[in-house]
Amino acid sequence: MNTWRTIRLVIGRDLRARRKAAATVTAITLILAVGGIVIAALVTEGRAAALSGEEADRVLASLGVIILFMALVTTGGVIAEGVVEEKRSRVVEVVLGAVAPRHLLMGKAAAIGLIGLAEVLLMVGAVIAAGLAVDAFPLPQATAGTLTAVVGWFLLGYAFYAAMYGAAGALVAPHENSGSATFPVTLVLIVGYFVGLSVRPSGNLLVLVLSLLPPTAPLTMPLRIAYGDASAWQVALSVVLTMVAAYGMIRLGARLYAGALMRGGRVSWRDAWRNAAHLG
Amino acid sequence: MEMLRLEGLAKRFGDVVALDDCSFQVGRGEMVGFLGPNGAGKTTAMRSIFGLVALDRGSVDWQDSPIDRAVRLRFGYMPEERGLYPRMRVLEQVVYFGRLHGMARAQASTAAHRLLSDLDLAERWQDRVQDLSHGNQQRVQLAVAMVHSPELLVLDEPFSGLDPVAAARLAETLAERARAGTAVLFSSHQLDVVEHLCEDVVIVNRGRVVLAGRVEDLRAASRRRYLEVVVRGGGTGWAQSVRDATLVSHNGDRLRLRLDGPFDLTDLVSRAARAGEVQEFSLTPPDLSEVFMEAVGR
Repeated sequence: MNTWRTIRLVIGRDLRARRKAAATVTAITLILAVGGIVIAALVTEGRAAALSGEEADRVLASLGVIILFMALVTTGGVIAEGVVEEKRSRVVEVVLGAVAPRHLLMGKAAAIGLIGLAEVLLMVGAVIAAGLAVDAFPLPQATAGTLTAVVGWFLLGYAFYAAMYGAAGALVAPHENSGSATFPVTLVLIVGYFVGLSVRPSGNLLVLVLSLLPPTAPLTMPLRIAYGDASAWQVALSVVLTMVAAYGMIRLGARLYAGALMRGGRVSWRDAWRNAAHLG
Repeated sequence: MEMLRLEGLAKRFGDVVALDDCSFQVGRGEMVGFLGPNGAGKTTAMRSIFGLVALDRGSVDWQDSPIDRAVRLRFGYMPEERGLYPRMRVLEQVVYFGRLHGMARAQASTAAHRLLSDLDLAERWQDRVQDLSHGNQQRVQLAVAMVHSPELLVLDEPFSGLDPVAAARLAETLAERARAGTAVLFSSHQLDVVEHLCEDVVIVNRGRVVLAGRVEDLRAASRRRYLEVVVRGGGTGWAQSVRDATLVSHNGDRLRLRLDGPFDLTDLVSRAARAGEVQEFSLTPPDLSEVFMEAVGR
């Protein structure tokens, strides 16, 4: 049967299974956004707190890093938990009778990625709406680039991290919480987050290197772009490197996931790797 | 006609040997009972049909070709560890699995409705699976395995946990499917059910097939026989002189003897006749559970 049809079916199920949770998160985001706008408007008392285009970009990019970090960690956690749930309810053995493990993982990651993307757009939109409400920054010159960068880096970062979160979820013993297994992955994101937030103009070599390397690029490059610090070739290089690395991570993550899924109890990364030789 | 063939399967989990050169076949329209003590390798063998086990050696073929994903979609599977999406509704769940096996939505929906009403779940189709009783969840699991009218049905312990009525109903359903041409392989510890339901059995022990074939033939092949005889006024004395015979039980003139070696039927009959008036005389091979015990050396 058609692989894409199978993946579409998995996406459909995973989206439906999370529609309530997604609606709740959307509602909370909207309430927070509206609240933020109202508070900002009250604080500035209608005065225009106009930032220059450059300042606006930095504020937006900093907020973008926060949004990116939160979105990557939460979507990753949702993937891991979704994987554990299928293991816990033991439905996974029935599903694997019909669906290749990597297709199951792809479908799940795509569904949760779509929800994550919607949330990112919503949050970015909320930030822009808040800024406009208080006349904090001009549109659209300053914001267009940052917006694209945040959304683009979310997709790249998600592609890089999603399969690993799925694999981490598959390692967990069914009765366990997925947090312990996902922590190493989240730790890498936390490093990227703090480096990303501490980026200053004309940053040092370490920041330059971290912004080029895939694990940290999604959280460090957006600010460097906003500071006008990153040259075109650096941006291009980091994008290409992240894409290539994401492909590798998807392959690796899918293999570990397949190797761990049918095992009971806690599975080590090593056993998952070895056990997956026959599955695809 | 032979459809499923497992050939020389071998699998170790660390020091534990799950399968050790395990081979057997299942034919079209055949219902094969897969028997063996706990830990004999039944579940591992069944999982290997669905590619869920990395075999150390051996092959699993369907119609003389290795089983790939497209072929596997024509199989139905009920694992030993039951599992469904707990929060999904019954109908939605069955339809989903039908579609995963390649059915169009409408087709899957029709099949699911029909199957659920056959399984007496017609009124529960909108319930979430987690709200159903254990028995009803088991029925949904069965519906998931059968919704796409598979050519091969593999069921791991389908009768465990079912009450006698539900078990009879399941037996009927499986027999129907087999009559329609489905190859059915199921494991069970309920040997009476298997004996009643299957023409063929495969018995495994420590990862190897120790006995396989028609239930009748396997029973007949045993050297042991049971003699149930009523000799009016004969007592038990005459029976004690028969060679290799053990008196299993007696109730008045009714005796039950176990004959463990070759015996001379004419001699037996005449011994009985000399003791008194023979009112009943029936010689039967051991039942399946005894054949099983012998085969696994217990």
